[in-house]
Amino acid sequence: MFVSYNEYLTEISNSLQHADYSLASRRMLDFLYDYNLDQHAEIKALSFDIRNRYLQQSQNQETDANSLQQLCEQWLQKVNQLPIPMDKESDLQHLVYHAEDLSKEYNSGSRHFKLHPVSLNIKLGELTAVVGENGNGKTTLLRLMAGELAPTSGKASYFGNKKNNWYETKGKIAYIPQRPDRWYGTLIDNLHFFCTIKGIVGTENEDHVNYILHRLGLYQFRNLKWTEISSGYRLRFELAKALMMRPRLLVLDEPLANLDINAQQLLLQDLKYLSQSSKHPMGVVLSSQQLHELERNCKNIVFIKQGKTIYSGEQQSFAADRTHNAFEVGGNFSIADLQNHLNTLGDIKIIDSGTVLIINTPLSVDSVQLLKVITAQNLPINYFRDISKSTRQLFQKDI
Amino acid sequence: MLKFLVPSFIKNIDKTLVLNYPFWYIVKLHYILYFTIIFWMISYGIGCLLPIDISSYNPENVTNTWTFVFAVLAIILFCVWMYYLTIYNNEDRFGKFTMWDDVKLLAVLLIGINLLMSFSYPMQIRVKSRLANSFSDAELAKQYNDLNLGHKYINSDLTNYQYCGYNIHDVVAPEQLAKDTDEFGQQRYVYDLSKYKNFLHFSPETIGHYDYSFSNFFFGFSELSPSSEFKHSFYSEYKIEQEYSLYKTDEQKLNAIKKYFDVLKLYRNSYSFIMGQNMVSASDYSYQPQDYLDNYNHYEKTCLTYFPNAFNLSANDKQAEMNYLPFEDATHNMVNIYQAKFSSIYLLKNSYLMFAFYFSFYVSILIILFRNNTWQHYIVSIVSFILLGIIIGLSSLIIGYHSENSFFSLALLTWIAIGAISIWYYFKNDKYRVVGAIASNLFYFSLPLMPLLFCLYLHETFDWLKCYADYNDPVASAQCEIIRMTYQDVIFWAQIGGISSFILIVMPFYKVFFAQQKALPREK
Repeated sequence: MFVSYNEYLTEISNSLQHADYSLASRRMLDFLYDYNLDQHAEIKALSFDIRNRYLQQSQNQETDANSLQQLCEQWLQKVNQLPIPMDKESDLQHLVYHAEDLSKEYNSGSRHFKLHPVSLNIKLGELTAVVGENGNGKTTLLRLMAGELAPTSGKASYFGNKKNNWYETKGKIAYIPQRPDRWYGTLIDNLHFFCTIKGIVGTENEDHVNYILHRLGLYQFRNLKWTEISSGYRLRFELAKALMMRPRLLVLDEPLANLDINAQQLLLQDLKYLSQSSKHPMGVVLSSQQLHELERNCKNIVFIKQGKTIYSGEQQSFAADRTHNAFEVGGNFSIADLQNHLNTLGDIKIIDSGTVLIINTPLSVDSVQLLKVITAQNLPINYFRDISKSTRQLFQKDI
Repeated sequence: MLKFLVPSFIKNIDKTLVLNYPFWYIVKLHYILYFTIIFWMISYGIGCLLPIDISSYNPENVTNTWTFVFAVLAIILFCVWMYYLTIYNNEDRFGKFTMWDDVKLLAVLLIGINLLMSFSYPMQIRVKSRLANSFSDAELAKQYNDLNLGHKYINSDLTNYQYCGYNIHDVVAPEQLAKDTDEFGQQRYVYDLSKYKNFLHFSPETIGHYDYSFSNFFFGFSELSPSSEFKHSFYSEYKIEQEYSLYKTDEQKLNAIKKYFDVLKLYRNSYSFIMGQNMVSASDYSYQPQDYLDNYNHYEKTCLTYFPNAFNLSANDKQAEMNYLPFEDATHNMVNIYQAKFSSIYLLKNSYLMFAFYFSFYVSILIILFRNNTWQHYIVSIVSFILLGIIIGLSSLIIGYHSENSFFSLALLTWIAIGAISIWYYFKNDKYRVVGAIASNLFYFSLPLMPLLFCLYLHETFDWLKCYADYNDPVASAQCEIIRMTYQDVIFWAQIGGISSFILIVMPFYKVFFAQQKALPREK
């Protein structure tokens, strides 16, 4: 998980080879931050310049790849001239949150809700996704984790401390609710303020705010006010604010809700990279309905259904002991057509989920086999996904 | 904060503070100082430009409207200030703080609130100063002297003469005057007749002058300490009599009368409202100084001959005459100048300073509580405070006997109960509890005055430092006086001790508590 000095440079070089200036410029800044290259004014200025140029060009949709490439090569050249520092010992894998049989009961109006006991661990450098249907307790769990709600029963500890000093603990937790409170004054003043109250002052404050603003692509909006930016940018500024305090645990409630697909993927990628910072790694927990995006980026999944935790663990380990495989298929055909053609594969069960069909097959049938049969029958398929190891299956009504 | 009015150097200070000194960025004292200086300059300018009417009864009449305008502006600025104090809250974001932050904030609020209250001060001081400098001290003293010297020759009570059917030019037969009676058959009361036997002396400190101005009503009358120049120039009663005895010729007398009217003319504006009823208006339009002199010469002899036993004025009669005199209004306005010169400004009076301190102190405490609470629980705390007062009051009335003592006892018991809840909550500190939070607010708010209230309780309920003595027993009276003075000392030190121990001991600990409370997980 931890990215070494050389790995960083290789990653940046690879991005440049694929002309992925978005990733390259972000990773340059991460590299700058992680390896304290702030004192190298030239490299710092060049990094910010590359990022700014990329953002400006991408907004105008007129990418001048040559000039960017030249700057990036210049950057690589300068960095390669620096002495290679010793890689630091990573904090990654340290436990930031541990919950044991944590439960919460409350009445909201006439509705009684109970989040059944849940146990989980959050580690530095890992992304954990909390998924489930609406109103099933995701936000409650996130608020419990963020120390916003007091549990009805169970124990929770933060950062390995047995007893919580809540003020100190919360100083290390950043919680971004689904609807953040509005900010007053200019965005940049707020960011400086949040930085200062955490003891990051003077030039370090300016550098840190600059880094985060450039890193998240917010630099050009810094002098605006909360009411002058869209909900997508509000979320990014909330994230910027959270990062100002260098949290050890970052909790985000439905951060992808107001983002387009590109922004969603970018945010998840950023969260993953930022959580793995060697300088200030953090554990990240987020809830969302964007299952596929989460599963691609998050190491752990917590699935909640009607207040009960159906699954809590590594995403890779999900459905390891499954009895069948499952696939989502979409196309211009009916269940009956499909059923007729797939009978040859053995015990097949097809469910119409509304927009796609879910095919449950024996474990012996994998995606290659299934696709072969479907394409052999010339069925007009336009969507296919293997969900055998996805919590998507848990959303099925009949499984 | 009203950005279009803020110069760039203030914004630069802002920038430095936000990067380095979050506390000072939050409290925005530099804005308050900046606006205070601006408003002081405006206020001083207005003080210079306002027309000063020496015939006005009080300088406050001139400045009241502007004082109100400055008060409104100060309240607007205060609201904007509070808005910024609320939105930038370090502990809401679990930032770094020290236990002395609330003490620092209290100091800033005390300074800030008093600065906001001071917007109109330069204007008031300037107007007072201008009024005081209308005449030099020696000139004012001379005006008093002229009035005192001229008064002897003036028939002040012309109306009274006229009422009797006489005219100033009439030569009234002394026999007729002696027999003249009023409607009740009493000898007519003619003040001026006494003049030739008694002597009135008008001094700015002995003349009956009641100033019902707002500041005096609330903060007490000023100590007057005239300058040596005034004291030196002002003629005593004895000196006036001496001078008067030197005026032998008509020319000298006429000169005294002229000087008398010269002084009155300086303050004539205020006479417009009593035109037609007053000697001065009459003198201006009907009678000349020579008329007064003639009249004086005529009656001097008559009076001394026919009214040898004309009553001697008692103190009350003197007062009555003074209130009846034509130049009473003039002296009234002269007293204003005299006070403007020699009285201490109300802003420096102990009573005003006490008021300013307690007012700003409790407003500051309320603001600090607001910053340390959710607004909902803040409101509930205030309502609870009022309701508890009403409940304790009603309960003590129901108990009936010695209801004052019951009130104190019940209030003390309630306070102990609230304090116990607050302290328990202080140490429990596991999750946010509404009852604990409200109890803590009430406890915190009442703490500064508790030593004082406790002393009052002991005094009222257990007769502590109370003493009754027969006034005929001087020894017992003296002992009681010592006890009363001791009690006054105790009350004074209870206030000082209560407030200082609150600031130095309670506030730092509760700062930590309030910050912790903000971080506690909540039930919902």
